[in-house]
Amino acid sequence: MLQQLISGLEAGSWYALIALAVVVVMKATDVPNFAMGDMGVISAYVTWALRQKGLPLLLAVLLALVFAFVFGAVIQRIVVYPAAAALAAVVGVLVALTPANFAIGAVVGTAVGLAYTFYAERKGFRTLAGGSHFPLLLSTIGIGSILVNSVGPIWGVESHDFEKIWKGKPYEVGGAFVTRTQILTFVVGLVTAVGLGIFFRSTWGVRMRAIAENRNVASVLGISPSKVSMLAWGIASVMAALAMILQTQATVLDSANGEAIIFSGFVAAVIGGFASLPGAFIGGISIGVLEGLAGQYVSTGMKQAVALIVVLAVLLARPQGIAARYKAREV
Amino acid sequence: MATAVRAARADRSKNPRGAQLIKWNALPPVVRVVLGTALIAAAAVVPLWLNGYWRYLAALIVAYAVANVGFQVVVGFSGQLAMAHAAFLGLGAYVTTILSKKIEKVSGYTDKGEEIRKQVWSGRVPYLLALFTVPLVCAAIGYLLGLPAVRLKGFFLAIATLAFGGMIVRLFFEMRDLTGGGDGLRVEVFELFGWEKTLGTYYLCLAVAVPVYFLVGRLMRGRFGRTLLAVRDVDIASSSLGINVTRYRLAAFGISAGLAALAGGLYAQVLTYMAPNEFGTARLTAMLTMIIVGSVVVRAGAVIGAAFIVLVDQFFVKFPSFKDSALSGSYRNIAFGLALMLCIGVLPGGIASIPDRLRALGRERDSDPEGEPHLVDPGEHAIDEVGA
Repeated sequence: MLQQLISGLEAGSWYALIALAVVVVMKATDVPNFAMGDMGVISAYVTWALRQKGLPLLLAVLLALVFAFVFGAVIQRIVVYPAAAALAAVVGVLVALTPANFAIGAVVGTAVGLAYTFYAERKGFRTLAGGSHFPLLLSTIGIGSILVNSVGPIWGVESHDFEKIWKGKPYEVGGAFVTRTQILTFVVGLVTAVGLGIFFRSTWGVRMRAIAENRNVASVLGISPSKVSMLAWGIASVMAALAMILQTQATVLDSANGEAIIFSGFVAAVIGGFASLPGAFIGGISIGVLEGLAGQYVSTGMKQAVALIVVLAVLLARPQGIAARYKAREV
Repeated sequence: MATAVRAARADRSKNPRGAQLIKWNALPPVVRVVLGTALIAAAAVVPLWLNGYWRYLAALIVAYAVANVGFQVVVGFSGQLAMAHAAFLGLGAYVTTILSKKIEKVSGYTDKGEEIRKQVWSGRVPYLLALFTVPLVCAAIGYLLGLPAVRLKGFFLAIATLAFGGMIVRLFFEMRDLTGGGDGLRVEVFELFGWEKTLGTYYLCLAVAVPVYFLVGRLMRGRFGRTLLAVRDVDIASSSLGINVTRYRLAAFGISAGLAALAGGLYAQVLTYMAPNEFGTARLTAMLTMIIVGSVVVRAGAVIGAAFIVLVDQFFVKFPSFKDSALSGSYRNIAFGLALMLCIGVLPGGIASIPDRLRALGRERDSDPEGEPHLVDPGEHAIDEVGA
């Protein structure tokens, strides 16, 4: 029982981190981001690649988090100007046709795509930002598919073992074992959640909420929606990176990792009504714990159905409650 | 031809939002009948000269097109993000196949180590009967799912239906006795008049798809489809006009689920083997890509999108540099993702909106810029209205 609770808390921490990332993006830019897990996967692979180059592990993690921040900001721009992705692809293919490899093509292509988004913004081209959810959702699905499938050509399709950040024997607590990785996971999850709560009360946090409330009014008041959006996606991307790095600590590094936890993250965000940070955090933890218990006492098949049942129950029991709160935020 | 274009324009000014749907109807009836018959005849005759592999691809395109027409009803016409479509495709595929097949499983071993097989399901239902009744049941399931779901809006609906779809796929895994679980299920191929198998499957798909194409078109052009569009665009206003908004949304749910299941029954025949993951998120992404690349409201877009997906897939299977690579699947999915983003970014109405755009460009040149709005494109408009 206690053992299941501990591993449930560990998985719950990953879900909570992803859920928080989803909520930050939703609160600040009003985008349902289905690519969140895949963004984290790329950062986890960057950590691994840096470590392979011989950097100390902690430095590799730190650099990967910096990468994740910039990467998140770049992805935000491409998501709202999806044409940039096509441009990036054309340039990327041209580069990759020369003796250069896929990774160089991807980097050069992304740089050109990014430059295009700034040009498009200056020229006032059609953007998805601030628009309806459906195109944005599709755009994130598209970019998620691109990201997760780029892992194979760059780093290979096989999964890799990931070195533990905090090595050592597990501790024994009341007959159950707690690994150091698990302790690290709880602590990072909790600290990130609290830090995020504090951040949303700061000036930049208030600006983010203002953008989400009303893009036009906020920009009239001198808040730059594009800067704030990039910041929000950068922060969310760092959280997704943390979640995926921690998850690979417990399992292996694989491109399918993102898909495996993004759904639970979304369900956790639904529990918080997509607006509440504590709600998303608690939601993530509870799904993790429920999964652990269901896996032990019902069946392993049930474990995978927990998130699905929870989201159906929550949405169907009080759709108006959640939707109403969400609507109230929009008004 | 000029009269046809003039008629289309006249219609456009009366009902700009329905413009694209009416264009085909604006052609004189004789032209429509001749063109339509020619197209169907071509679709029926051309596969005779194709080899088995291309017949398989053609059948795949037709089966996908049926599913896409259903997806258009719920996403494009009623503006609801119903993401259980891949799961309904799977439900149709599995139930139709299982009903018409004998299923045995190994229940134990004799002392000599021989398998003892037990019959789990006798499979007395003729395939054709299953093919047409299963979609009715699935439509009812879709309707029931709709009862609570239509109260949800936007991507809350997307997540709830995604969850429902996920649970159905889990069921395929868990009901091992019937579905074979993760090992997959071999499909008993229905032999149409004892023709060569791939050809028979293709004609079966075509024989189902053509009536579906016309019936759904008729439904969507008529009172029902127009009311759906009204409910999508101005739900509060339409409810004040005495339209039962919920009933229309539910009907869209049911119709799309039924068509997905019908397509599923055909899809299983085309694939001849399936596993639960066939109907997971990857399939859903591909289905979304199909209707976005084709069009979310124009039926021709359903076929165009299906052809696009199948042919791009083949490009990556056949193209020399990808052929022997373990990465061809990765490159293909990257291409799908890019196609999706490109269409959202620069071609929101999908490929089916290109003729309209060209015409709009032409009009822009010869009319004053202050006149009526030039680019009235329901496909483009539809994308912004979904889930709003």
